[in-house]
Amino acid sequence: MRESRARRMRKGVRSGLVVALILLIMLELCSVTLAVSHLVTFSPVQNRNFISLTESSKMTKLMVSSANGSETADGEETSSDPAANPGSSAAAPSDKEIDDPDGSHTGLVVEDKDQIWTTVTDVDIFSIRYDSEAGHPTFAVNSEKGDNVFAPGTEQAYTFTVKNVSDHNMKYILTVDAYYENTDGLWIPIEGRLKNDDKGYVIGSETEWPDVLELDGYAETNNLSAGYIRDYTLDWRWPFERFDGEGLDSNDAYDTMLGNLAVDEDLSLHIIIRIVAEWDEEGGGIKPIPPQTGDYSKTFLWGAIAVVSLCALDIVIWAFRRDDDDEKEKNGLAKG
Amino acid sequence: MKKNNVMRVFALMLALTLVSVCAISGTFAKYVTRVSGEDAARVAKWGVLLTVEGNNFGTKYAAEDEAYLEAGGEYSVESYNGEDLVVAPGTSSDLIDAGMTATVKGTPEVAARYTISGVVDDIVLKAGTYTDYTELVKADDGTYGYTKEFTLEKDYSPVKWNLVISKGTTEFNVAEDLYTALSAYPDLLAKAEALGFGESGCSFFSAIEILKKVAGNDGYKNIVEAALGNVVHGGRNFQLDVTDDGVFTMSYDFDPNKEMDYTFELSWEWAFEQIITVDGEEVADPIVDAADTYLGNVAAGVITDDNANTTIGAELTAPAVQID
Repeated sequence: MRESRARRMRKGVRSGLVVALILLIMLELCSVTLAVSHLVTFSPVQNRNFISLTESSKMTKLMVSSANGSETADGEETSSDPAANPGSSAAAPSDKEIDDPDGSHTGLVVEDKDQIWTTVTDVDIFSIRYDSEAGHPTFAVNSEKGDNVFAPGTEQAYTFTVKNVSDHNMKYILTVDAYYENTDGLWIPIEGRLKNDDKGYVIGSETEWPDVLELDGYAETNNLSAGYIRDYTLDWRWPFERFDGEGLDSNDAYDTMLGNLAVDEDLSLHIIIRIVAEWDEEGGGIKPIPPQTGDYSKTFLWGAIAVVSLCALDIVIWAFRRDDDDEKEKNGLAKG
Repeated sequence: MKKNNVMRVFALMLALTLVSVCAISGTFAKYVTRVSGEDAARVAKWGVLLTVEGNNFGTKYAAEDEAYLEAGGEYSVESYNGEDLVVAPGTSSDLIDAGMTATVKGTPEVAARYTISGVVDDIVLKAGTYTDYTELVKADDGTYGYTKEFTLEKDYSPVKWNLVISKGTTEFNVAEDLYTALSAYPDLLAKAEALGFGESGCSFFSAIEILKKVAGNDGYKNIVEAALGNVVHGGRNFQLDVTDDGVFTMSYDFDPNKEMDYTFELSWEWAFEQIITVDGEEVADPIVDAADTYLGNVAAGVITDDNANTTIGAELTAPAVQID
């Protein structure tokens, strides 16, 4: 009777160990998988910054519908994206097509007039030189060392386009960072705006130019239907003459002080625009995405879990074997 | 036997793990696109430094007459209270090693316009007929008096102002070098000399006025730019103008990254006498002597005449501004 209870207990422990073994193996599998997935850096095909979500056909066409479109000031038609306007009908891809003969564009593409964005792209928000208004001299501002500069009276607009060249709705998050470096707390009178051709100005307005630092922290989540594009324009300016604040003379004096400080110190402004896009099969919001390409932030965590679960796995296997040995020993004694 | 089974299960699971890692991690990586566009710029350099300093006039001026100096004299002109700044025939800013100087230095990364302007309050005796105080004349009744007169056909400004622009060792003497530049155009030079434009006998105010008159605005500009070429290199849109009110303005535009390193010196001279030729002989111009004497008497308060201005002064301003 006593022997049968002991056997039942051993059997119970053994079953528990088996369950723990399976759980630990699953945990090990998951954690190693996640850790490795973090370490796998996405290698875009031909340096394109998109990820293949579907198999592309030989020709991918980007279409802009005039039926749903609105006409811009220069007469170019832009899309009225049904993904951004849920009540509207689906795209009618008929009027404007941008051919992609090599079929390499699939997914979401961000580009400007010069290039397609990659993971980290140097874009031309600022310039090395700026033309003079009068034409004499040719340049009103020209960097001595060939790096980007800005000065009173300079301004620039930077336009980039988000294109959905897949055959699925895409969701993306656009964020902007803007910050100064080496200014030691000094304010620089640069103003900035951000315009989305779907919503209009999202920072500033047609007449209002907020401080450029108001761009910092801007984030928007947006949908883009298959075959549609959306233009963004980020423009900035440093007014040549400012009548606000302390008045023109004081403002001129302040600008001059900044120009003199700039002789010895690079008082710089950085603007970073990030776009993270995901194909959402169900058309819902962006899902939490722990394993992100090139995101090393949680690799250590997943690796640590993998190591711990591996150790625990060894302990369970060791316990399993010990239990087995005990049983063998007992069986031997009983036979003896 | 059981041990082998456990090891087999473990090996199988490990193999499955490795296979699934390769398969699943690749799948995860293909669901997110992350791109960024970034740019940075810095404030363009300005760093233009300006100075304006110096004093044009003195309270006393050293004598040049040898006999006077040998007799123990030291100064030919000295203000009565030792404080007032004075000028007189035979004095100049060079005599007291004075002169107003403006400098501009810097290599900004923006286009800049440097302007130097001066307001000159000049000594003037307007055109007209005046009593000649250089000579006492005996009348028929035996008395002496200042009965002679002299006539000025045009306003008389005895002080000749000049502006010298220098960069390093190269300099441009406005009055003298404009004369040299004008020498390339004999017809224009003859007309200018007829109006009083001499090699060193003309204030730069007069030089500019005369040059504009004989060459026209465009011709004047070409002559000045050709004369300035060696001094102001890299600039453009040169402007040099004077007004009847005694205001001169000179400005020059500089492209970004052009070095500005210039000195502008405003100097003056009141000639002791002006030599003219009469009947083949060089003599001091008696009208100039008479006019100088008349001005001296007005300054002394001996006579009063609203047509005579006996105060002199100059003020320089030299701003540099960014061009849009």
